[in-house]
Amino acid sequence: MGAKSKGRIPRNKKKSWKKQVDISEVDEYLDDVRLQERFGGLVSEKESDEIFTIDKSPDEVNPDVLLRQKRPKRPKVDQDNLRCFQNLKGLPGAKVPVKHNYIKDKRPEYIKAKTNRKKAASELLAAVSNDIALKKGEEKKKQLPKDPWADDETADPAGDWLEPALRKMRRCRTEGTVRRPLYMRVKRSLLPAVEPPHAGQSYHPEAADHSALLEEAVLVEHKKEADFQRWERQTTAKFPSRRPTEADWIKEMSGGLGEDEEEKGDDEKSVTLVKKVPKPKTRQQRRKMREREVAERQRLAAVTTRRSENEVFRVRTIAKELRAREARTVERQARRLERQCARASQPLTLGRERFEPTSLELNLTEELPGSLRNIRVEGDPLQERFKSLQKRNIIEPRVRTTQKKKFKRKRFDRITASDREPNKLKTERNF
Amino acid sequence: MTGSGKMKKKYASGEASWYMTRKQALDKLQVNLRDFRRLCILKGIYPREPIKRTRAQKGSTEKKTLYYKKDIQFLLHEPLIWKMWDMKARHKKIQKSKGKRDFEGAQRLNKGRPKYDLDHLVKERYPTFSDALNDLDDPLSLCSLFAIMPTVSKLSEALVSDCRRLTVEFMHYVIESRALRKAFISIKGYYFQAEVQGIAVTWVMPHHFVYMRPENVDMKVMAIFSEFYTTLLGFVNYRLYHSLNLMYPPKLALTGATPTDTCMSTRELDDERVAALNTPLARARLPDDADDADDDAELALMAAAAGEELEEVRRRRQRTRRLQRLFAGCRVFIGREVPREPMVFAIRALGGTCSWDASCAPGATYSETDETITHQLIDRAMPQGAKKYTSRYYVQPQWVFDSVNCGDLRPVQLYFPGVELPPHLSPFKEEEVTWGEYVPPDKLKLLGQLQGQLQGTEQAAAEDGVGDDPSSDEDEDQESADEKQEDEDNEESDGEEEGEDSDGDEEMEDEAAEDSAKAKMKVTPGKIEKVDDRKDKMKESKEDFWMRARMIKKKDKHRFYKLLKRKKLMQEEARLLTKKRQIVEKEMAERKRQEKKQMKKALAQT
Repeated sequence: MGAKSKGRIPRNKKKSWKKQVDISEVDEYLDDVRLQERFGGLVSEKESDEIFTIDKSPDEVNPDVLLRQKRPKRPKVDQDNLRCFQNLKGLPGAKVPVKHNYIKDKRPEYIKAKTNRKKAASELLAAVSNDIALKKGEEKKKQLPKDPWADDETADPAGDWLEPALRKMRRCRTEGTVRRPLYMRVKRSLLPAVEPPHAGQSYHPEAADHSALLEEAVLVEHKKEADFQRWERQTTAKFPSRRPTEADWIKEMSGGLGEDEEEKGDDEKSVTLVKKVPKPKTRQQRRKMREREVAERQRLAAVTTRRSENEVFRVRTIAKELRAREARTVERQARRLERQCARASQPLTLGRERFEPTSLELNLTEELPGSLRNIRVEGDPLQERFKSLQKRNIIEPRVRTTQKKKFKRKRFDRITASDREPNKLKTERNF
Repeated sequence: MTGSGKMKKKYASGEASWYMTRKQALDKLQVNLRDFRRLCILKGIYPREPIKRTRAQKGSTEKKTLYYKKDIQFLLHEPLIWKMWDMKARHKKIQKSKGKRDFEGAQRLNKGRPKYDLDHLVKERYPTFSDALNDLDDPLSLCSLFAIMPTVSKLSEALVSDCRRLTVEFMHYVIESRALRKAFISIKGYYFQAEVQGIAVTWVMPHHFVYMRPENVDMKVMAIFSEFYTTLLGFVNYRLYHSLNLMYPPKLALTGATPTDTCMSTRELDDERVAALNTPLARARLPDDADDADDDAELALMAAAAGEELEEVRRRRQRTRRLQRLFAGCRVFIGREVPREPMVFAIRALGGTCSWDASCAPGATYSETDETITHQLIDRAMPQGAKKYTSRYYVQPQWVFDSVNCGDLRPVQLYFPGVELPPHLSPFKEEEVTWGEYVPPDKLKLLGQLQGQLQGTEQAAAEDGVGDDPSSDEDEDQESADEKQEDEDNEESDGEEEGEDSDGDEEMEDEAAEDSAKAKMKVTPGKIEKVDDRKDKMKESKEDFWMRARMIKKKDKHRFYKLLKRKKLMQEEARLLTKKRQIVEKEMAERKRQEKKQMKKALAQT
C-alpha cells in the first residue's frame, strides 16, 4: 500500500477510522492530563491559591551610592623599575674590582698585643649585645599575634555530632601535647566574674534603693554585733573578772580534804574484808538448769516462727513502711541536691583560712555628692578583684606570712646550791 | 578474707586516691611554691574541696589545700615547667657567681634568662572564640585596673602599659561596632556592658583618682593573672578587629589633624591619640552592608534559641538599633572638670562626636568656640567672664549615662548646671515582680527611663523600622491568607463578611470596576490586608491561662487563688489611688487658676 494522501481515506469503515485518523492531538492532551495527575492533580481543577503565591518581597530599591564600599586604591606601577627590564640594568650584587692598599702596622709588638686583647674583649661584648639585640628584634616581630581560633569556622567546636573517627583525627592533630581533661572546662563557681553593683551604690541613687542598701549594711552590722556578744557570753562572762588570791587558791586546793577524813572513819567500820565463797551446785541443780535453758530456747524458736508466719498478714503494713522509707529517701536526696546547689554559689573551704568578704561599700546619706565632680569613691577595686577570685574558688584565701629569722639561743645551765637541793630531795625520796 | 585475694589497703582507692596535697604536688613537680602558684594560675588549675576531707587526706583532719592528682599529672606535661626548671638552674648559677663576686658573669647570666610565652595556653584554655568572649569580664576589669597603677618596682612597666594599650584597643572595638549597651556610674567605678558578637561583656573601669594599693592583696598573684589576661586580650582584640576589617594594631583614620606637641615624639603622640578614643580607626576596607538588613530568618532563629516570641526579639533589635544611633548628630564638648575617658567612650560608642580643650590632652578635634557644638558637659559653676553660647545646651555629665540607659536622649532641662539632678538609676537592677500595685507617676517616669518601652517610644520604633516586612507576623495564619485569596478573586478590598452584607450593590460595582480595570491592565504586587486579631489573641491567652490554672495540683490551688485575690486587691487599691491622685491634681490646678485670677484682678485694680 503506497502512502495515501489524507484526503482520500475511506470513511465508511470503522477500521479505516481506527487506522488513518490522526489522534496525536488527543493523545497529547491525555498524556498531559496523566502527567498533571502524576504531579499533584489537574491544574484546571485546582484552587488558585494552590497554584499562585503572594509576592511578599519588597520592591527593589536602588542601592545607596553613598554607602557603597570604597576599595583601597591599587599602588601605582613604578615605571622605572619594571621587573621585566631588570636584566637590562646590570647585575645588582657585583662588586667594583678595586684593589685595597693595606697599610702595614708599624707599631711595636707589646702595644699590638694590648690592643688585640681589648679588641677581643670588645668583640665578645659586641657578640653578647648583638645576641640581645637579635632577641629583642625577635620579640618585636612576635608582637603581632597569630589568631589561635583561625580554624574555628572549619572545625566544629561542639563536635558532639561528629563521627568518632573524625574526633579522633582532630585529637591526633594536637600531637605531642596532652589534651586538657574535659572536667576542667566546668566553671568553679556560679557567681559572675563582675557582680552587678547594688542599685544603691549609684553615685546619685534613688532614695528607695539607697535605703535598701543601708538596710543591708545595718543587717550586717547587727550580725557582727550578735557574734561579738555571743563570744563575750561564752568566754569572758564565764570567767571571773578578778584574779584569784592566795586564799582562794588554798581554799580550792584543800577542797573536800576535811570531809574525807571524817568519812574514812565510817568506812572502816562498815567494810567487811571477808569474801563470801559460793556453794558448789548439785548435779540435780545443774540438770534442771539445762532443762530450763532448752525449754526457753524452744519457746523462743516457736515465737519467732509464729511471728514470721504472721508476717503474711502484715504485708500491707510492710508495704506502707517501705513506701515511707522510699519517700524519705527521695526527700533527703532533694535536700542534698538543694544543699549542693546552694554551695555552688558559695566560697568553698580550700585551705586553712576562711573566705572573708569585704565590707559593703556605701555612701552615707550626708556623704552623697550633689555632682559627679564631688564623688566619694568607696571600696578598693583591686581588693574587690582579689576577693572575687577567692569567692569564685579560683585561688585559696591565705594570710600573709612573714618569716622571722629565729636564731638558736645558746643555753647555759648555771648550777647553784638552790638548784642542787631538789636533786637532793629526789634522792631522799628514792630512799 | 584469706579466700578473696589480697587484703585491701586503706586509702588506696576511691576519694583518697583522687587528691594530692600542695606539698606533694611541689615534690612531684620539682618547683618551688612561687613557681607552682604561677603555673596553676596560668594553666587554670584550681584547688579543690573534697567531699569528705578526712578520707581525702588519708585520715588527717587538718585543713590542707588539695589538688586533683590528675591536674598535677597534667601540669607535668606543660612546656612551661621545663622553662621553670631551666630558670631554677640558672638562678643557682647566678647565685654562685654572685657569691664569687663575679658580677659581670651574673649580669650576663641574668640577661640570657629563658623567656616563656603563653600563646599556646590561650587556645588550650579557650578552645573556641566564644569561650574566650564568655570569660572576658575578668580580663577587662583587671586590665583596666592595672592600666592606672603607678609603676613601682614590684610591678613591671611593660605590664602596666600593655594593660593600658589592650583596654584602649578593646574600647575602640566597642566604639567601632557600636556595641555598648549599659553604662552606670557607681561609687566603686564605672560599670559598662557591651554586646560583643551576641555575648554580654561587663567590666568595671575604676575612677581615675590617685590610686593607693591596699595592704592585704597579694600583688604577685594579681600580676600573674594580669600577665595571662594581657595575652588573652591581645588575641581577642586581634580577632575582633579583623571581624570589622580594622587594622591591628589600631591606626587612626585621620593623621596629623591636630598640631604636634613638642614634648612628645610622634610615636608617643600617636599612641596618645589612639588612647584618646576620639578618632575613628582605619579600616582595610569598608564593612559589608549585608548585616545591616533585618534578616527575618536570623531573627526567627534567635527567637527560637532564646525561647521567646519573634515580636519580642524584633522589638529588642529595634531598640538596639536606635541605641546605636543615640548620639548621632550630637557634637559634645567635654569640660576639663569632667572625667574624660568614660564620657568619650559612652558618647562615641553611640555615634556621637566629642572634643575637649586642646590644652587638656591630645586628641581634641574642635575647640570650644565651635558654633556647631550641640551639648557641653559642665560640672561646676560657669567661670566668670566665660562666654556662653546660645547654640548649645550646657548639661551635667549624668545626662550622657542616663541617656544611654534610657535608650533615648533625656530631656536636657533636667540636667542643666545647678539643677538638682534626677537619681541615677542602675541598669543592672533586676526588674521586680509587680502585682499591679500603685506606683506614683514620678516613679513610673523613672522606670520608663530604664525600660525604654513606653508607648510613645514604641511607636517611634515602628516608624523607624522602614525596612521591616510588616506581613511576616501573619505568615503562619492560614485562615487570613485564605481570605486574602478570595479577596483578590473578587477584586475587592473588603473582607468576606462585609462582602456578604453588601450583596445588592455588588454587581453594579463589579461592572464599573471591570471597565476601569480594563483601561489599565497591569499586574501590580498585591497588598496584604492587616487583620487586627488582637482581641482574639487576648481571648485565647485568657482561655489558656485558665486552662493552665486547671493543671495546678489540688494542694497548691489554695495558694494560687490566694495570690490571685491579692493581685485583685492590689489592682483595686491602685485604681483608687490613681483616682485620688487625679482628683487632687484637679483641685490643685483649680486652686492655681483661681489664685492667678485673683492676682490679675488685684493687678487690674491697682
